[in-house]
Amino acid sequence: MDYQGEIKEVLKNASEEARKIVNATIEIERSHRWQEDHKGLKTEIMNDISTQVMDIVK
Amino acid sequence: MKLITLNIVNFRQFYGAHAIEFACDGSLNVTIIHGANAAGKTALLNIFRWCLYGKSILPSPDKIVSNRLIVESTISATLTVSAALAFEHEGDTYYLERSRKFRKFSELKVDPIGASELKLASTGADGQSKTIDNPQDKIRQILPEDIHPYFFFDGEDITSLADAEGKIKDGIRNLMSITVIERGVRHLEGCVARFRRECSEHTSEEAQGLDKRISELEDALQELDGTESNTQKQIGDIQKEKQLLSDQLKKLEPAKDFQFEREKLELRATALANDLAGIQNKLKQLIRSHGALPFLHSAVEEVRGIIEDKREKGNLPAGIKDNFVRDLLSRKLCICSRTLEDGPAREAVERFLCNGAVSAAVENTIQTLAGKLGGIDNDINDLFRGIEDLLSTRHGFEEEKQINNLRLSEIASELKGKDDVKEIAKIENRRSEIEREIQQATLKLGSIQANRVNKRDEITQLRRRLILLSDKAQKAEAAKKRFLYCEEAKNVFQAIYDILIEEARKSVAEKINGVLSRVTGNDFYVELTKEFQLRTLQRIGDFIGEIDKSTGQKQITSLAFIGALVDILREKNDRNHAGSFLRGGEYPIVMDSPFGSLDNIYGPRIARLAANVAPQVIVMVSGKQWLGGIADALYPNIGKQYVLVKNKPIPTTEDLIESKFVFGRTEIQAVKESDKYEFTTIIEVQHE
Repeated sequence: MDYQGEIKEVLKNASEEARKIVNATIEIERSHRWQEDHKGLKTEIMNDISTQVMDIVK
Repeated sequence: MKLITLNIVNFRQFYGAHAIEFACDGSLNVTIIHGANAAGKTALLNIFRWCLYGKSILPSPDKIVSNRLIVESTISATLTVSAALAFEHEGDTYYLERSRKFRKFSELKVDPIGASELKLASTGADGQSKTIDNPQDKIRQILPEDIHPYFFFDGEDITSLADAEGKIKDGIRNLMSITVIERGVRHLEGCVARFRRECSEHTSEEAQGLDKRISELEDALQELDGTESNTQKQIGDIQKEKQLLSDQLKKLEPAKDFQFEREKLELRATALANDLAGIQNKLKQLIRSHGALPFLHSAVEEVRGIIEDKREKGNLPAGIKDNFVRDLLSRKLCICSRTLEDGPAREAVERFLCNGAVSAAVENTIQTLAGKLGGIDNDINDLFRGIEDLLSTRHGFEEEKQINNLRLSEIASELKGKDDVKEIAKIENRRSEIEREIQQATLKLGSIQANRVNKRDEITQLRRRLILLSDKAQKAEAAKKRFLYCEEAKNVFQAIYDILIEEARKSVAEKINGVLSRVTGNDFYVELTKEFQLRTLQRIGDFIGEIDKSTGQKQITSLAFIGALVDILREKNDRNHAGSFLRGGEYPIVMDSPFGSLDNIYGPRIARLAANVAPQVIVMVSGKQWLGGIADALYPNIGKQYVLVKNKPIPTTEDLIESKFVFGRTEIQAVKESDKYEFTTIIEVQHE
């Protein structure tokens, strides 16, 4: 199995909520990928992820 | 990213305006920039860095203004340094310009005026141009700052790549976007901690304590209900016995009259108790509804005083009735009884009297107020009278009750003293005992009822609190679920990270060895350990042993590593698709003096490799590095060549001899004598 197959397997074994959180987190991280890592950015990203998690898990 | 041109104005030794056009046509993808020592090769590498990210790693990063410009300018003059880079990326052409202003404050010193200014514009394939609002973010998207050192590098430092495991791991992580996953793991860890905190904040021990307390109180209430019921039954039983004893007494002649009288008295005692309770209730009611009135007494007196005071001061007219004044005037009489003749005098008196009269509305208001003040006085008096009446009635009832009780005691004593009929005394004694028991049981019943009221009140209060807390409990439940799912997502991320980093490690090692085999044949190969350490291995007979790398081997390994990364990124770019974790791209390699430690065998090989691996190669070399097979190896791919000509007031003989560059039939002297300034100019060499 190649690495993409392994990743698919990991995602398949995860719960639906965890998968949704993973996808939301990737999108958020990608959108901030090019910004320099600093404390303010970390808080901003964590806020964005938390908001998404609250939407996904009621 | 394909570099097109670089324009420099007054940066370090590059006094004035200079331009370099880079080779970027298919196989003619190599640009060579020749320069003697200190001509500006490293400065040129730093111009790229400064233009892209506003940073440089020169010994004095802030000293970027040309010394000649500073000297030639007047004190307080504004000096501008700029660098502009044109490049193509993913089909668009970009024009990036960074400039910074300085003010001269002494002969050789300048101060920056604010930060550098960055402008970025792009032109699409359709010819439409646009200005990009966040130029720095866009540049970081095109070529992230953390990966640029793998493409813009100083050859003298490149050997450290092969030694430092951290640098290799960082390079792989950054280039292959694994940092996105790594940051995701870190940020999800933060979110897990947040939700865990939220969960514990909302899960209060208080709610559990309240639940327990309510259960205890409910159990206690049930117990009280049982006790109350038993006590009531006990009282009922005793009452029955008492009635039986009373009936027996009524049958016994000497006790009969006493017993009848006692029953009447007891009936009256019950009525009196009810009357007294009624009086008590009335008193409570009266005080509750009118009890505040006496406290108004001083306020009433104060209002009266104010009205009186205003009357005395004339603020409130003394009370000449409006009707009275009008009547006088209709009879043409003054208030002093004199006749008023028509004319100005009469009009004046009319005005005076009318102004002095109290309007009906004011008079009514004052009268109403006075009436209300009087009403309050009456209410206070009524209250006191009512209380006095009730107290008097209560006193009467209490006196009657006392007499009643006294007579009941006398009767009981009489009956107990009837020694001649022992049965009567015995019955009466038992009856007295029963009354005490009833009294005690009744007290117990009262205590039970009061206790139950208290417990019910407490339960009501606790339930109200619990309702508030249950809202928090729901939040705690939600936070718990979020925390658990977040933790699972974090573990998924970690697993993906492990898979990606392992995949990257394997593919990078494979690529490095592929590159190495092209450069070194099968002299040696590398293994990238799980700790991302490059081990150089050599086959010795039937054995494989780790070898200590020479400086040349280190340089080759490092360049092979960069070549491998470029290759991987190019492959990723070719099969880039939405949803993929990794994102590739095409990047140029800009190298300053990369062939310093390479011999005549490895040097040409690595030069040829660089020209073939990267889509565009820019090499800055000194005369010494351009000897031997390196020039021959790169020759087929050279599209552009430049010489950095160093102008200095007093060049040494060595400078003049060693800085002669020969290009076919063309000779260029790379160090020239200047009048008084040291600066560098850039000359393009026509490639033959």
